[in-house]
Amino acid sequence: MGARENILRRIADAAMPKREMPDVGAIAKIAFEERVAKFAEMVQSVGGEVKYVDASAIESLPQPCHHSKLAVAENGAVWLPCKGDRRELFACEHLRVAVNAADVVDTMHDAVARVSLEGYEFGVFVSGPSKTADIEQALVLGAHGAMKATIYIYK
Amino acid sequence: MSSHAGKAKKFLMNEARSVWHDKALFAVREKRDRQAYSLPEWEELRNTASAIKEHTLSHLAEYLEEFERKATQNGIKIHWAESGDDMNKIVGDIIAEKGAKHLVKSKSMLAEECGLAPYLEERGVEVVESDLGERIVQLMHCAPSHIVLPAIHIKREEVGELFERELGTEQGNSDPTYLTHEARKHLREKFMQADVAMTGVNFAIAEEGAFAVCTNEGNADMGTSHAPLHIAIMGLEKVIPNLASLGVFTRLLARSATGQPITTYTSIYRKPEEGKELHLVIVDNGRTESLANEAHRNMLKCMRCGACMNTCPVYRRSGGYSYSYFIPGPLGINLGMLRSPKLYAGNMSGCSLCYSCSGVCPAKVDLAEQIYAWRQQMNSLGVAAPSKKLIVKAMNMIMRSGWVFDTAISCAPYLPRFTYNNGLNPWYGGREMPHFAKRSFKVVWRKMEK
Repeated sequence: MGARENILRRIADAAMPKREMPDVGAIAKIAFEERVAKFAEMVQSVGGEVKYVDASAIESLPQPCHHSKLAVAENGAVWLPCKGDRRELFACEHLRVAVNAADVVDTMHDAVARVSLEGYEFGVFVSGPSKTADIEQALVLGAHGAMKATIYIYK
Repeated sequence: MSSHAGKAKKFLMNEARSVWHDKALFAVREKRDRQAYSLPEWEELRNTASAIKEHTLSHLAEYLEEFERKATQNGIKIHWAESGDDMNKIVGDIIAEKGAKHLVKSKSMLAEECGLAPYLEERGVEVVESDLGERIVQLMHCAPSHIVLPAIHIKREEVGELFERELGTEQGNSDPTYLTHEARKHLREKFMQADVAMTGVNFAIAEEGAFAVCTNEGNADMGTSHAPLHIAIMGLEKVIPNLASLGVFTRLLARSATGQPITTYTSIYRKPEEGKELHLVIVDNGRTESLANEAHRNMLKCMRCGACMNTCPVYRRSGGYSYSYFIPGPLGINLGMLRSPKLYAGNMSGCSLCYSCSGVCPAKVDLAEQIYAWRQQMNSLGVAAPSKKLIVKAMNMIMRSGWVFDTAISCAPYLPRFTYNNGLNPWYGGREMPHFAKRSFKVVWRKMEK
């Protein structure tokens, strides 16, 4: 237990003057007039594909297809909480996620306010297919995770 | 000549490559700008991020204890390491206890800082870097030259040759898409074989006892979802209060780093999967010393996005290897000085004090102001250049006395130029000395008054 106590003691000894936590809720965050259209635009800009489908069609989508209850307009990300084996989510070639247009929020501020980890081991915001630009800054889709990502939006 | 200037000179010998390097990084800086300008609240976000970090640092013990308590409740095994050596030993012991032999790791600057990979390799553990850029530099047996873009200094033809040799790819094929997908196949095998996965930590969320790891490639998640054991390592400054704070930082991180609206994967690890183990090592290694250093504790606000490097005109034109600390650019100059002024003062000349780094930092770390502050201390730290010290002493003598100064300035225009426009003058390197005016300002002024 020595290291823990020594570290905590050195932090106390540093005696940094106390600073207030800022009010994160006070940030004048961006709001999109066409929130769902913005989300779709961002999914495409990060290399994903968007398909609008009828709500009645979501049961007959190609499988496997994940269902996300939270999507973010500003960055095209969908939230996928997990419990248990999650290898398929990352090792798959083609990631498919269905999202209800009503579950699209503007920004990450709105998104994290809706995130609840209770009951889950893990959760991930996924924005498009996996990618890298490590060779001469040339963008390549399909690094280690999904090569392709399709987001199905329904109303 | 400083150690930085000496190595930069070598880098600049290959003009075509240095121009390419400069442009490649400036393109990343421009992508960052487009993202920043697209958000009206950008400056407000920076201010908030900075304030959250300052608040957290000023309550660091409470937040670390809260994180430890809640993470432990979640089934994460927490370890504390005072030094890099301690961290290496803790990680090595966990791996040895499990009898693990194959480790896949995602990028971690802390692992580089502590020399973790060579430590484990010496103990018979295979360490495979899984970030593509890190894998390239690992196979090349060289160090990363940028913290976010480790292989930014390497040309595609060199990667093609490397992969041909190491992975058996087609001869002469240096297409980035082809090479990336070949690396994908090669690393898939490694992910399947791995019995331990290692990640860094971007944000440890105290209120949740969970931590976030951000990648574009999905390599951290491929590793951790396949291996039965996950070891995460974090510098103790990585703790943040809550999910609301994560909202602020995830809006800034990728926009600042690579000009993306967010990283492809922002993964939050809360509990180990059933039947698996999740360990996390909280590392000090000099950070509490920085916290006690009032003039430089701001460095602990850094979230390692690399924006200060991409914008730095000196970094872009001198390359990551010109710096003697393992992190280059304005960030590395500062962190090196905090680590050891004796060892790393040679990097301080790698700054033109343009303050661009301070202007782009998403956490508002005053990088340039701190470099300036370090420079004021070079003499007292015993790292000032002897030739400059001697000249400053002589100038001090001349300038202190009115008549000596007047005489010197009136004689100066008649000095043959070679007496100061030469290699003995430490300010001469790389620049022409200006000509002395025939009449000094004082003389001109007196004449005007008459």
